[in-house]
Amino acid sequence: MENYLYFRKLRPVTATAAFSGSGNATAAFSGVGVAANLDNINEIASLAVTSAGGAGTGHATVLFETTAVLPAPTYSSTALAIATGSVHYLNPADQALANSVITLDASSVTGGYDLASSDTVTITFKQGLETSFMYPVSALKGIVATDTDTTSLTFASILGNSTDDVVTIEHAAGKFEDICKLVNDACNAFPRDGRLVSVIDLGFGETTILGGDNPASITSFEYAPEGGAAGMAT
Amino acid sequence: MREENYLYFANNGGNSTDKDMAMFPASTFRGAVSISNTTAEFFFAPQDGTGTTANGVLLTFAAVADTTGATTANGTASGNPHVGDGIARSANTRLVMEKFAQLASGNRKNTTNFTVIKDLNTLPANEGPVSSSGISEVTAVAITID
Repeated sequence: MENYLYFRKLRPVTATAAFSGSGNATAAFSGVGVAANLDNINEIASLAVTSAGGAGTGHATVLFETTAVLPAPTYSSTALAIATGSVHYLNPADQALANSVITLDASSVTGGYDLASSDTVTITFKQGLETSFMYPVSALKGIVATDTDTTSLTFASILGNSTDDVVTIEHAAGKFEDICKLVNDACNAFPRDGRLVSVIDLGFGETTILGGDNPASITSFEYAPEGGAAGMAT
Repeated sequence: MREENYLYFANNGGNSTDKDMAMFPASTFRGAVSISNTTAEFFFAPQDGTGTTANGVLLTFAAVADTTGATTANGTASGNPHVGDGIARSANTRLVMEKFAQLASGNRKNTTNFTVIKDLNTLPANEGPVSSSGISEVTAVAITID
């Protein structure tokens, strides 16, 4: 019998970034995790563009819900006048996310939008690719301090590759012993059974740490299976 | 003899084609990861013995709809603040993982140790573990064995 260690990232979480000035792309979103790990559009539940000004912003195609507006509208690339401060909701599935940067489809494409100077894009991340996971205790290879306020847990690769999977925990400075005790408690929680043990659960903005307290003041963690390369067997 | 628990998966493909069914020893389980808000994949050491290409079983389940505000991903439905609305809570991700853990650890003396994680086929009644359909939240099974 062995336990299974369960982790869940901070989701949903909302973040805003401004137009980068080129490529119809935003600057990188911050506060939602390591940029290199934010590559999958299926993590985004909603996406809203706020127009910053008049000049150069009249290029949107607006996404209508055909079940709500009758007769059903057709999309058009005709420039629309976008009022300053107005908010437009785009379908995330039509856009692209790579390295924490959103690139919108151009207005010539259905569901697209041409960003202009100082426009901002607000996205909300939901549960998606690699936002929650579990490992059997036997997959844990070890723990190492990687910075004054970060500790990394190494697990045997979930795919069996030579690159281990790493969970990097952000916590208060010097709290390494608390992290090690937390993991030890999780591994040995039910020695005669074998159960799912929630080690760190940040779902829905609630910080739930095994044991109830949070002596290490854990604030977030990152998950990098296969060295950060997203994409599983399927 | 080492007590082992064997985990059984079957889709609703009629037991007629390749990878309609797979069974893995619980000890070969490597971990599970959420793939989307309605899917999670469970990985096992490969059956071919290479140890390098994992076998995966993708389980699908329902998202749990958010009941507040707008209900669509693009925020166009009526409701209160749009940003953040439409988020399915994905409560079943954890629930399915938890049930898997319980079943995978279900090895007990004087039992068959044959454990159905999910069988989507029409099953005979009153035949012990063969009659079990497994985790009720799972609606689809996709088996990848390279």
